[in-house]
Amino acid sequence: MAADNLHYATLAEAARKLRLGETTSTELTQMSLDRIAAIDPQIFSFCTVTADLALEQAARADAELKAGQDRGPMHGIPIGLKDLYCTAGIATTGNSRLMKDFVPAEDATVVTKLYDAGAVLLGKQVMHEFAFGAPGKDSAFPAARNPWNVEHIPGGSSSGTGAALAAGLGYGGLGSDTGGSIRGPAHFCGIVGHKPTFGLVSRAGVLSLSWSLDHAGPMARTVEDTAIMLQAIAGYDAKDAFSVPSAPADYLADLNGGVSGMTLGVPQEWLDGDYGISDEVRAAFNAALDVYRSLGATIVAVESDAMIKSRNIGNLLLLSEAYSYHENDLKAHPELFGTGARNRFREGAFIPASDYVQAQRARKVCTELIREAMKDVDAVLLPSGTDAANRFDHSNPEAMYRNPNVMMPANVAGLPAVSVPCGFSANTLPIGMQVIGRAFEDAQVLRIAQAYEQATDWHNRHPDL
Amino acid sequence: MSEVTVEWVKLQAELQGLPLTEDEANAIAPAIARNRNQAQIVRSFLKEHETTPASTFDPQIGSGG
Repeated sequence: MAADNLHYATLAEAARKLRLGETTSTELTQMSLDRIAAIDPQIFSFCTVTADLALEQAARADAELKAGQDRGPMHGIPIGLKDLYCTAGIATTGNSRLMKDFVPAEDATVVTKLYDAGAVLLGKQVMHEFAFGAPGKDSAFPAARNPWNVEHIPGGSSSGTGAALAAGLGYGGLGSDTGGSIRGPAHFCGIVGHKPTFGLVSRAGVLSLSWSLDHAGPMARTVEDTAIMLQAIAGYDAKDAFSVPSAPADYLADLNGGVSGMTLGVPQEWLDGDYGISDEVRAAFNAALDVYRSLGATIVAVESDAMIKSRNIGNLLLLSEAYSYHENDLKAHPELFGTGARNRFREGAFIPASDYVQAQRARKVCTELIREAMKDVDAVLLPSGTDAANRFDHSNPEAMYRNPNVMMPANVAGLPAVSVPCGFSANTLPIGMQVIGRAFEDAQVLRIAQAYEQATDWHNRHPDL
Repeated sequence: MSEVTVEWVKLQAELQGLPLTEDEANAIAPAIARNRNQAQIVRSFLKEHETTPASTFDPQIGSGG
């Protein structure tokens, strides 16, 4: 395969070809930069392209690999970063006019880890302003578009990272997930996104939306690629107050172990109730359950109530913490926020401290109830969204906020959750499914997702660009 | 509990030093009412499930296990 046909190769395939001498990091990087120049004017996934840095890092990776210095599977691999990861000497804007001139002096911890692993930075990727709300018309950069149909949203808030990977612009990326912002774009763009266990991946140097709900995590085109990236970024960091001092697991060792004999739970009451899940999503999800049964897993119903209520708990926490973070700027420079972000952040000013405290207390209860619901299963399965991607002009955030958020249980309880493609809508837009596990069972969650991915071919489909 | 009217939103914003026009207050009032409703749902959820009501507040937020 020539280098110019490699844009939809997996990260793992690209890594193998590098070691077989079938391509070089410089070839992969130049191909990615050329494709960004050709395609991104339709997709708007990158806000800053770091071409010079990327070619310099690629040349270094080639020299090191040639000299026998192998840093592992990320070595020489071109990736992108959501524009809320601090990158030394490179603008980090959060897609806000408030921060358009901010150039950090230091890298976020996970960026350092990726550089140490030999990754090549193609650039910074567009996101919803400060990781909140809907795509804005008056943010610092234009909204990213869905490569499957540019009239449709790519999801958010890691919109650019999801869109770039679906468009074959790089082999992996980092998103962040406070209420679904990794798994949502994965669902809408037909890629894989993993929200790790709370405390597993450092958020030091990552712009915050909500301190107690934010998670940093990987996005890629396959489960294996996501596991490779997680391996590179997981681990304790004293600079993140919530980082958990434990050694990361091996996320690749048992990846192909399958699901035979496993028991997978489904919150059936949620799926069967009137909670806004579309018929197409329900059908794709039920077909995925049949795939798991054919692989030897048993599907059982689990209690839904705490998972459904997690939306209410998470929303109060998120709005309160986000307002605290932005309060000074909302008072001094409200005009510098985009309209959508400004309105949503302001909501937090009207939540009394007592409601915030009760939400934190309810979170503990909710987490315990979810833990109890999961005690007899290996993982829980849920759709990754209630519908496929809406058109930009049909997007209705109010309707979205009314229904329970299928993402929020994993944020409120801090559980690992991966979204994997599980079908398409009638108008050829992707649909995803989540695998949610117990805390620090990220390896198991990825294994369960891998079993499904390898039994299906959704991940091999790409938009016609 | 007072009703979430545009006037109430403007007054509360002014007391906090948060600049807000009439149109802006109008735009976020429904969301503020929705959030209040969610807070009630959360309190009911706590009341339903806590075995020893209000006995603890663990500031170790997030689970991580």
